Amino acid sequence: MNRLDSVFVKASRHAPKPPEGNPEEKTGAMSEEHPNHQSTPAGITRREVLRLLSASAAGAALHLTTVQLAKAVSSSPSRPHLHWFNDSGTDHTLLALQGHSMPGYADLVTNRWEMVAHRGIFPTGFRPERYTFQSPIILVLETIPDPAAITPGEREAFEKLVSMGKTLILVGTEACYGGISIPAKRIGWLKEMAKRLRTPLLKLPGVPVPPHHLVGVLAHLEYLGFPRLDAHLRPLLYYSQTICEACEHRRSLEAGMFARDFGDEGCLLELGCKGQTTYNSCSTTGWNGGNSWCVGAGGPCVGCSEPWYPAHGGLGLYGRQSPGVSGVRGKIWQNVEGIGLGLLGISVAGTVLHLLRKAFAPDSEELEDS
Amino acid sequence: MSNEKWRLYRVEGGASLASGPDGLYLESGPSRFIEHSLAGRPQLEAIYLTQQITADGGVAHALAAVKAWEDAGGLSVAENGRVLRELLHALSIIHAHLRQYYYQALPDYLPPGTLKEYSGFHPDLRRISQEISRKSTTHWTRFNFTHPFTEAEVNHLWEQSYRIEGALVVLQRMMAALGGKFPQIMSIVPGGVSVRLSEALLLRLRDGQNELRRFISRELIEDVNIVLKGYPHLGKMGKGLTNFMCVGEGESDAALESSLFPSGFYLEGKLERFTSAATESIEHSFYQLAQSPGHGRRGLQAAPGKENAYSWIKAPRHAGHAMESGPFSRLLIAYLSGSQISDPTLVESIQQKTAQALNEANTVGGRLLAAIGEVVGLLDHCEILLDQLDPAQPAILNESDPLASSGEGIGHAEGPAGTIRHVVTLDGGRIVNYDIIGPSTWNGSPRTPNGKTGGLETALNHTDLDPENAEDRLDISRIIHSFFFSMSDAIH
Repeated sequence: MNRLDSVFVKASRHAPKPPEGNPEEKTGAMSEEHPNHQSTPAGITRREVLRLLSASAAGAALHLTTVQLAKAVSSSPSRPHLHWFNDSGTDHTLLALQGHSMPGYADLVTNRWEMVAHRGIFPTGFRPERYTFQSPIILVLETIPDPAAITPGEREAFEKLVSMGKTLILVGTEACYGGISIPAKRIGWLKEMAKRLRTPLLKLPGVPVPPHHLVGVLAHLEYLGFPRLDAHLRPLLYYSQTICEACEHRRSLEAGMFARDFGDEGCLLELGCKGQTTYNSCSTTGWNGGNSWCVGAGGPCVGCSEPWYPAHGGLGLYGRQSPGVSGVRGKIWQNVEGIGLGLLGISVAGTVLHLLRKAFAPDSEELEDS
Repeated sequence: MSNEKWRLYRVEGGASLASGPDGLYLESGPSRFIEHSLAGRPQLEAIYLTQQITADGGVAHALAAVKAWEDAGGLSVAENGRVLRELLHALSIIHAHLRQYYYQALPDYLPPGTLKEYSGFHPDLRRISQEISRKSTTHWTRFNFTHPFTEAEVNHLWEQSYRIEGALVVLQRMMAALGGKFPQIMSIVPGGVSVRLSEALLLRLRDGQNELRRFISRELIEDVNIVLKGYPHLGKMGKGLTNFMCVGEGESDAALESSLFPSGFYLEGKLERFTSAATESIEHSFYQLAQSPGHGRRGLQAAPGKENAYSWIKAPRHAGHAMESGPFSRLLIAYLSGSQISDPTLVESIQQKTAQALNEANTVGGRLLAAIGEVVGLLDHCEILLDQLDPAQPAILNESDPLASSGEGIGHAEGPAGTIRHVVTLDGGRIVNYDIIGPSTWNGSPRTPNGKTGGLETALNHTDLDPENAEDRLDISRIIHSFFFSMSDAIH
């Protein structure tokens, strides 16, 4: 096994929960009769895609690798059509994609990505119903229609779309877990529908979703089959390590050097950073070309890719703040207090256990004698 | 009435055109009630969450939120922090204008099918042109309509659209350096910005600024002139209001002097000093006063079946007048204030292309020229801002405790599409009540009981346009896109 493969094998140790539907059935995962070194009709080997994906997940030459992956997706002759549903949502994801030059506007417009439907790019006067699908589609959902607000006809059309989907990708935290615009029960409705129609579903959470995640997953679907997912249906390729693991302040955390105010040096834990419990690639890959990221600009991670965002079990985005007790002025935050109390509890329990074992265990000298 | 074929594309938040007894207007889904969702949260979260109202104007919303907090708590801002915020603000407006003009507005003039006709020398565009020729005839990338451009103009506009992507990449990289990530900035905090200003950061910003010079120059205005030459009726079409506003950085004397945009009202032909007072009418909006006082937006709740209501947008007014805001308003007020930031050449160009005096030139052509002209002016302003930064000084002041802030605070900012106002009532740093008026709420507002409509509705009904007619529908889309309108911002 070589080093590149190990990224994916490492990911597989996380024992992924099977996705909704049967991915093998609709996507055709990597098989024995199509070895890695064999060229695909597009002239790009699977090994090459694997190498690019590893580099993408590791944040190596991010811009270049993502552009190459996008090219790999667009040059595959069997690529499915992308049907992008963003009916009443904002343009955050589109904007992040446009500013990544990948796919740029010309790519979107000229359909190198086989973008079948996207409200944000359609030309005025075009009638989408005139378009007929010629191959399976990948359904990218940034918003989810309200089953109570749409007509039975619209509901039927949406179900048909989901049933035609080779894969269903939920993009952005709201679409993945619900939020201000999308109630969580609507996600449940969609998941149930995907399961019933046997359409595999995966989630790409984030505010917004990093563009290279979407490109990487599309490339994975096209060349390597359905990606391995974690318990929250996120691809392990990009969501297998916590923010803290590769954070630039990791050493400060271990040394106990914490920023007490915004703008200070040190780990941002006391400013409410959720890096320890957030699974995403930001600290490895960075944002907008990889030059910076939230923590890099002195902003604590707000855990935007987690299902409990933004409430975080009552802690809120930046921890519980109140004047004189905790807050941006460097007092102790309640989430830190919680963690501290937890650690204290573990230490006390450990000490008690140790003392108990010592009290009831045979004397070490006796053991030596025997 | 409204139907699916009147659905509008490239409008954030989704919108469709509708026609009523009083003329054309826009329809949308219900409000997201973001103000309600902020109640009880710390104000720090409002800085983050209000950026989700709109992608292009998110930075300006964050700035308005932090200013409201600083106003409530009487907090000071570090000079470096002020400059870095202003830089972030200027870059976000440049980004929004370029994206809006080249990718949202231009497809109304240059259909995607024209790429098939591309005969220039750009290798990528040539390849894409060949690809598009192979597409099915029903595919949307083959969609075309009659256009007036010459072969050279088609080539030029496509090359520019392709080129501008490069500018967006650089702009996003610069904003990420300042704010962590874009379009969701993480560094705006009370007292300044959390990013540590260093020589290395300054070097990166200067490098980005120099790179932007490769993409942005006065020649960009030529791209609008080509469109205006091809569609001369844009100089007169879609005339909006004649009352304008610009909040700049607020109403204080200091703000007036240091402002990126000079503040003021242009009301019934006279320039007036800006005041933050504004009222909002819900007469024709799907809202009603709640039986019991709620939180978030004091005592307001949804009323989807309300009689006489036709919009989810509320109707903000200044002294009973509908006001228009945005790049054109900013240019007019800066010009009439005698501000150095106004560009006399641009004013001259607008007057010439629209064949009207500047205060009458609020048409599709006037608005597009003002926006692209603003891009050029803002890039020059960024140069000045970079010179003001001192890496030896902090970017944030941590003197007082913002979490102890209580009382009401008002924060203003000029977003890409116009004026933003946040009013917050805080109790110990937590939100008791929040009130947001976004630029698209000002411009897209429905009529009030006195019959006055907002800028967009006025513009839609200024020219007699029939939505059943495909040509007219294109003109309607051109009018809407000239406002850089966002429905998600309007109904937040």
